Amino acid sequence: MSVDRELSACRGQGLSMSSALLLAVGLSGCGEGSSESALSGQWRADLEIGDGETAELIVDLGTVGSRWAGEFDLLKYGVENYPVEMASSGDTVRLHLTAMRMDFEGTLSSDGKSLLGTGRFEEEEIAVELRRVAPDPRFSEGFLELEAAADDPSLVETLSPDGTELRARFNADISKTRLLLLLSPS
Amino acid sequence: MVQTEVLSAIGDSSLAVYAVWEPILRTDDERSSRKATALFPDRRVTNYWVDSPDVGKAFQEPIGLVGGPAWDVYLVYPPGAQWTVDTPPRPEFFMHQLGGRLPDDRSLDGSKLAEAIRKLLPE
Repeated sequence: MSVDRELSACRGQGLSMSSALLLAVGLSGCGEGSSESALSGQWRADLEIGDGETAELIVDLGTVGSRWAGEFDLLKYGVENYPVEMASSGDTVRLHLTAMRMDFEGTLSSDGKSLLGTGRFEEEEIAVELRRVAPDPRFSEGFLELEAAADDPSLVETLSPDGTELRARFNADISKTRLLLLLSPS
Repeated sequence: MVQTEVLSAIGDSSLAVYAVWEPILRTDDERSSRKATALFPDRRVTNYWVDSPDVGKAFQEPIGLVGGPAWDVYLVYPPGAQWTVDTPPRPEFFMHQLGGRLPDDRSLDGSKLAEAIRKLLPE
């Protein structure tokens, strides 16, 4: 029941903050391999979760603007539109499903219709077959909005490591009550 | 929770909010911090990205945290509080989502956080 455990664990940590909205990051670390474009589409897999039950994993991979992006859903656990990281090298494809803390490594079948490999959790491995069910990704509206936000530098100010700018702002607002949040964006 | 139970519930313009997005998890970067700003659609919020754990480390001492930079923490300061030395000031109130690393009775609770802020709003 590793999927159960991992999702329960992540809900108790970082996801608790972010679950109100969909946090999705673009694919990072895409490899130098040529297979990224071959991976575009919507992929689905049935994950064994124990006691004969399965949970459907939906992974969308494709380009948004000029960048590769990926998101996944695991609806049985209420997980929607979480980011996927991808790297590829030759025939090997690696996916990191944030929130699930699952790493998948597999290969694309010769007909391009499936990704066969292994999903690894902290202590366990499960066989995973992702089947391509659509040639294009079906990114959610929220995911696309967040991808657009990621390209907008006006949304965040960059702090110096010593927090000089924050300190100046904090002191400038001395007449106000101040709420300071220190957070991980993922 | 913070948006719905705190910021939306307290419309007072005398509340300033700073969201500092830090590199804690492997997917944390400036792009993800821009996306995360969607969590707080509130004009009073200033969002910062810092590509260093140093700011989080600086806030360890004020909240009594050991073993890593402060993150997933919510600090409340009253009017008049100043940050005059390198170490940030101790908050009047704080909450967290760090499990056993900080007191359980300070685990994030939106209504309690909102109540603490209301008590500190200027007259």
